[in-house]
Amino acid sequence: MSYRKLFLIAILSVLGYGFWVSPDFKMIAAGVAIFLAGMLSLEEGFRAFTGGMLEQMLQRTTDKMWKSLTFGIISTTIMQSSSLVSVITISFLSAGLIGLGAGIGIIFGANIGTTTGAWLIAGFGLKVDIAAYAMPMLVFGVILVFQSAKSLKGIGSILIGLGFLFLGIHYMKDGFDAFRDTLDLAAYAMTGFWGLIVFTLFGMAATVIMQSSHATLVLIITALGAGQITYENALALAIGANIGTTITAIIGAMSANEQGKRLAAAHLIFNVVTGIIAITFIGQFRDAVDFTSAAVGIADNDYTLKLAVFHTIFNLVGVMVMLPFTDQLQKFLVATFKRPEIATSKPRYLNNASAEFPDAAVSALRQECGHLYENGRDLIMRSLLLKPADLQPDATLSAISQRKSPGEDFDFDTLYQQQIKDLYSAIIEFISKAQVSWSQNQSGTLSWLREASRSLVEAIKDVKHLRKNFTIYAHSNNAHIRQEYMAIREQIASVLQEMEEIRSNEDDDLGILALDQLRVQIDEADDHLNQQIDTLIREGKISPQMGTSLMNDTSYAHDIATKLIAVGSSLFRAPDPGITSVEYALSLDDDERHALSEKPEKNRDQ
Amino acid sequence: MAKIVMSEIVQSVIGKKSIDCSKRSCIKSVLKKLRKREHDLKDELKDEKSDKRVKKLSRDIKVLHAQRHKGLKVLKSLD
Repeated sequence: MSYRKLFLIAILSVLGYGFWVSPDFKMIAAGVAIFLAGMLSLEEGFRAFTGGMLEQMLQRTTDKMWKSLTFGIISTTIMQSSSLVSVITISFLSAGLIGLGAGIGIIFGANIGTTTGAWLIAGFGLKVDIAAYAMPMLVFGVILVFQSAKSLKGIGSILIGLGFLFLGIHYMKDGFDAFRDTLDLAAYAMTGFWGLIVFTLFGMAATVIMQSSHATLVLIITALGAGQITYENALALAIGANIGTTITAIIGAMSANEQGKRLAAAHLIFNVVTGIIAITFIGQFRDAVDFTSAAVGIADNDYTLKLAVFHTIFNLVGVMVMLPFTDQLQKFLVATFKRPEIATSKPRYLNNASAEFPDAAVSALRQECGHLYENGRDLIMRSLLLKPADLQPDATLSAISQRKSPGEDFDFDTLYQQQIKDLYSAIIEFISKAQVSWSQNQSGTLSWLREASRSLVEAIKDVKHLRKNFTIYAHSNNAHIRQEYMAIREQIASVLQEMEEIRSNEDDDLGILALDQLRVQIDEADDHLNQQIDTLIREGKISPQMGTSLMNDTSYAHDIATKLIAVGSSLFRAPDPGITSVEYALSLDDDERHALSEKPEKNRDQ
Repeated sequence: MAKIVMSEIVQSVIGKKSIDCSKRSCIKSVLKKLRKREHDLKDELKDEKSDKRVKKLSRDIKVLHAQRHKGLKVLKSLD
């Protein structure tokens, strides 16, 4: 039996025994359970609004550290879940949508934003009849959840989540009030340094078990409000909860790539450093809390609100301490979590973390299709005896040695299986498993990417056919047939060169229109080659058998070029769908391109 | 695509003019980039010596010109 199952059985047993022994404990535990159910429902509700607005905001508002911080604070305050914000950030980081610096800024901001939970609970939750607010939220929430519109379902889930949150607080408050009559937990309070350490560890353990620092904070505040724990121990528990909350990010990063792991490590480092600072300077922090509380009018004996002040102050101090060292932290993380050497046939960007949210998944897919393209390009180059230098703009293609070199003979099928097939399969599997509830825009993007992958694989299969005659005639004694196959090689090489130039030109987002130039070039080359074949056969410079081979291979070359351009049409789409739509509208059709292409001269030698 | 879809929703409430505004701004943005690209290639063509490169640049300029011409026609149709 695994450790997880054993742990689960142990927890259930302890809880069961507790329920049997103490009805008040049952009420507190039920309060925690209802609170956690509320957190899940709240997350579910906010996830319904992902797949567009949130991701666009994330991309646009995180190019500077202060923007990332602000985004982290606001999003966590609204969603009341630093875990959800962490998971979104890790997902986006894994998919390459945001950089590590932006991710770190968001995590820092999320730590500040999460302190608003303590304020809400201490300032509102304990002071009013919170259950009265919970009831209507639950009723309206359930009605909305049964609606068909995704946004209404989302709002319903949020209302249910909030309702359960409030109800959970209510039961915990009542539970601790009743518990006081049977058992005074405050009698077990520990003072001094060891009390600080022990209760910090309790706080960490509670948060790790419940997977929610909010739930732990609610427990702490309600227990403090009922006098079941001392103020000193509550502070230590809050420090422990802050450290324990990193477990969610760590679990989320396990299925992420090295970027996700770096961010989880940044989160852990930040919270541990903040915790150490808080423990070391606990006296000074208490004084700061007393001073601030007096300044804002919080009563000296209102320990729940003072706990909220403490939670905010020590997180703020943590951010102020860590912020100047963000660059050093990034360098450390990059050096520690190096990008693993992944076999070229394995997906680099497709993982469970990037699949969490639609936009992250689309971004990961786009990059993975780029990876597939690189593998395919390399296989095509190897088949046509092209070198990497041949892809430089306007490069003179490397000459082919007239003696076959050992590297020329390779098993195409084996390389195809290793470099292309497995990766293509992974991409198709990822697309197939993509959530069907995604927006039309995202589903459309998936179709384009699937078509791009298919076009590339078909182009590679055409290269396999072309290669059969190419390897023979590239070394032929007949200079004319050799020249024609070099022209085919040059045609495909020029397509690959242009594709590289468009790919590398990040500032220019008119990739689709740039492909028109390539299409015209291919049309001209194709007309020229076909004209040449007739001339060469007629003049007896090549045999009819060579001529038919050349005709077939010219057709393959044209198909390869056309399919590579089709790949580019999907991979080079501009981020703005409006611009993409205009590009397609302005792209030249067949007649317009034929009108532009130069007609070949009748006789090449003239 | 999302902008165009949203524009179609707005059409039923406000009218065609508002749709054309978002499409118009996208076309203008694309035409501006195409014009810049065409000018850059013409500047490059002036100093180019290689026949192969001259041929390529001339072809690319012709394509850009045709795309801009098409874009201006589409823009005019929105007026």
